[in-house]
Amino acid sequence: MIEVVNLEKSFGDKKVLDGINLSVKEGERVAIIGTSGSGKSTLLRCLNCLEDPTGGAIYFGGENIADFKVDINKHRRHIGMVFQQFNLFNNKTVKNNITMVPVICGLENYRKTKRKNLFIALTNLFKSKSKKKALLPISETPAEIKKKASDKADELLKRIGLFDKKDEYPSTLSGGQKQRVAIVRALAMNPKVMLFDEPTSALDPEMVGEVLALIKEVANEGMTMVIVTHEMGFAREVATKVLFVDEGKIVESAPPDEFFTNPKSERLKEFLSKVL
Amino acid sequence: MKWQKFVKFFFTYKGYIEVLDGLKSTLIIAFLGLIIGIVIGTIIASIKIIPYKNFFQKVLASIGDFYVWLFRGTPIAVQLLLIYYVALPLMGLKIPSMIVAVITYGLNSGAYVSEIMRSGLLSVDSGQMEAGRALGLSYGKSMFKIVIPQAIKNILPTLGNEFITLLKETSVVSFIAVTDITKAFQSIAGGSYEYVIPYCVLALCYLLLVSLVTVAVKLMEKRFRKSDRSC
Repeated sequence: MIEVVNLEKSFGDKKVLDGINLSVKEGERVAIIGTSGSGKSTLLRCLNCLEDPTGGAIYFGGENIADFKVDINKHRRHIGMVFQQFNLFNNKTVKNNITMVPVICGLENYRKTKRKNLFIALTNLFKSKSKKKALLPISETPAEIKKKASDKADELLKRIGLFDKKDEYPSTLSGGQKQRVAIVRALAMNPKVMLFDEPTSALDPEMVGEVLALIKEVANEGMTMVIVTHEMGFAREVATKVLFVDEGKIVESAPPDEFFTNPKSERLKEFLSKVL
Repeated sequence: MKWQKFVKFFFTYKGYIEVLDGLKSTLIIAFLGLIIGIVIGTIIASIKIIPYKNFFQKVLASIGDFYVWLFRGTPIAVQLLLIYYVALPLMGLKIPSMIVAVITYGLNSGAYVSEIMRSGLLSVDSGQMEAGRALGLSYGKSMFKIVIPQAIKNILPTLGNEFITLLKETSVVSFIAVTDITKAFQSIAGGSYEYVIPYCVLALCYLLLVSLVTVAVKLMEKRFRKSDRSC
């Protein structure tokens, strides 16, 4: 699903990622661990081009999204992202946080189809009968798009038990609640893959459990995931593949059992002995 | 005695009509000037904070820099005189002085608002823009739907300040033959040879206007702050 080839990223002279090769298949859950500053967050942020890679290629949906000419916004709609600092939109209510982007995207597509139809109708005027092109179908009216997004948001909020908070602003929620809303906000876009950037690092220890439980639930539904985390136990339980990143390179990549019980490289042995 | 003179000129000789007219011009110039200023300022600030600019955006940003440098570096009175008596005649244009005043005050406040707006945009956590981009919105959409509304909330007190400054700076607009409230009281004072009371009343008028603006800004702030915890 995502194919990373020889990815490089440098900030100025500092090389943060140095020749990363990685492939994430459908249904796979990849956990990335490593020390701070090892480049694991940068690697994740490169996967949806929040950081533009300085070299290499990332193939998603049959296109190299590291290329500047590709319409990255179109691809990002299929890549959900959850941040360490939640990043809920502070000026929107909880429900609007979830519905806002699906509604904007839906309306954008609706207008685009309408424009194209107008163009087809215009060109049809100058064509003989046999060459006339059919109009593109418009499946939903704007009201239906809004209704659908709203229903979906209600359903998602009920699922995480925050339906009664739907009209409140993010500033009134606890950290765990914010992160759960952030996760369902990403889910509302029906992503093909989800990226988690240290989803529990900014939370109180008490609230880590509820967020991890939600991520596990989403994982069990078969969502493809890439997770940067410091929670070793969680990585072991959820991931199907664990990567160890150090100094911008993938040092070791193995299924979780083998990764944690039988590490091969010295660097990983040292790291695990410190954190476990 | 002094009061009688003032009352006579104000009511009997219909000085109040001129004063009300002046008040109207003052408010129109300040209000429209601020709106033009906000539009210009927002555009310049949005261009300036784009992280990686292409050639066209770089040119626009330098034009913005030049504009801010020019309009912040000269007094508003000089700008009025230059535009009304030099620039427009050179171009062979005849525009009513009221419109010239609105445009000049708009351009002037745009220079200040662009910097206010820029600080407001920078005050919004970069994660907000990132979240918008990560969900698949374009830079412009994330800016207009997410960042600018939050920026405006943050800069509202400063923007109120700018409006108050603008309101008071309109007192020099009579340089280009627009009758504002200052000019109206000046003619009452000149006509009656009585200066103390008209100018004191004028000062009170400005105080009252500024107080009203202050209250209005406070109410707006309350409305915008409803997404914060503390209310």
